[in-house]
Amino acid sequence: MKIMEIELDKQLDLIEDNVNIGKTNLLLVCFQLLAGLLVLFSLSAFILISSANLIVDLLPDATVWKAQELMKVEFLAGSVSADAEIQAYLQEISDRLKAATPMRDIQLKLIYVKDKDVNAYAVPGNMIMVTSALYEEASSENEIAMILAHEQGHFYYRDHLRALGRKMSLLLLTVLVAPSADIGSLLDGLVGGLLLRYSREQEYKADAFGLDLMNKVYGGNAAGVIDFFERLQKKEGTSAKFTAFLSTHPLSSERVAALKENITQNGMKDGTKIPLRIKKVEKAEDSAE
Amino acid sequence: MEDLFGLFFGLFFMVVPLVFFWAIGHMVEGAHYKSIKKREIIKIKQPVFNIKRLPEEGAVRHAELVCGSVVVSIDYFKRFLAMLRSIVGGRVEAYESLLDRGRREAVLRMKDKCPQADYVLNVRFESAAIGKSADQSKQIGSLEVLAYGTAVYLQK
Repeated sequence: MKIMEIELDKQLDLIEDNVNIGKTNLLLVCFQLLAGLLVLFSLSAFILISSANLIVDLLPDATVWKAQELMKVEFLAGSVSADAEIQAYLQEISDRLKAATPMRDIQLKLIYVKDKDVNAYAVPGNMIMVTSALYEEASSENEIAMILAHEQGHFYYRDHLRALGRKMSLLLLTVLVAPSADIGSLLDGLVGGLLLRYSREQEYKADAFGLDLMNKVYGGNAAGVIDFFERLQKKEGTSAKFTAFLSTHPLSSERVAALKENITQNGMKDGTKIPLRIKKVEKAEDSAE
Repeated sequence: MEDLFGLFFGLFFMVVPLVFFWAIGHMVEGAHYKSIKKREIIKIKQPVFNIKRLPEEGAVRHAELVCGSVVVSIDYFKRFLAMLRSIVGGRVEAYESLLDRGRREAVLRMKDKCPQADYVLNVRFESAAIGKSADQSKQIGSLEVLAYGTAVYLQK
């Protein structure tokens, strides 16, 4: 057929040269897009989080305490202490420390719980929780006081509100940018690490605040202050530095280093450690330690 | 310091699967295109037309409806790229080759249906997204392309 004969050559050309698909390298495009999105999202997250932090800084004290009251963890508030004597002792140390801070008029309730995990929390709602495992491991009053002072630092710096602000910033961003769940979780993962960085920053500041408070209340005595952190450092071992970026707390070795530097800067001297007034019956704690 | 480690760690876990799936998809698509081109050259003597009637016609012995359909899908990498695109906007090049392959394959299959026919007239295309269409997410999982027309057998 005539028509077919004329067009045959052109048809062969068409088979080789495909106008319907793009010529760009898709891998390149993909990474360009990823990089661009990462930068954009991180920048927006940074701006939002900085604004949230600024707001928390500017809030008057009364509002902050009220807000923290609202965040109160109810089931803890009414809990029975694992040991009333120890709790009272801890409360006394905490109150003595608090009296040297601007928070002296606020009540921070001490809660002593039985738990095999070594931990101390600043709990939203003006409570500090200490586990029995932590107390049993402690070798001096100075050590416990430093831990309590650190937790008070979290309240002083309004860290619970900051954490809330961060989480809400991330939530807001994900909701705005991500129409579907997949993109949301992708961006969450990318920027979630950023949030952990802020959390670690907070821990350093609380450490510094705690040390400062110890300096004031315990008369420049540096004894026993870094014991807890050095013990943590030993427990963490050398492999911890690979997963450190996933953690809400900095590497213990870094914390110890920062504390030691602060000790010299503050001019604190090594003195005698005050032994724990109430010792656990099972362990015979030696004060000469 | 630990943040940089974390960043590289995260990027590594994202980059490696992407490159892996890109490579797989590239190979699969390359093989398909090769097959398509080969068959198109073989069947070049059997043209298809979009028009209903040719200006020059011989006597028609027989005519019938023929259709060819194919379901094609894209790989994980292309899907990921399309998702990124959906945030920023612009040409979704990832899907272009998918549609092109679907169309050409469908036409080839349609021609397979009538190997003795002189030409196929009035060829049209229909496409439908299947597989993930029930999902709320706007991603195409698989695409069905249908090509149909009238096969014409001329009197010899």
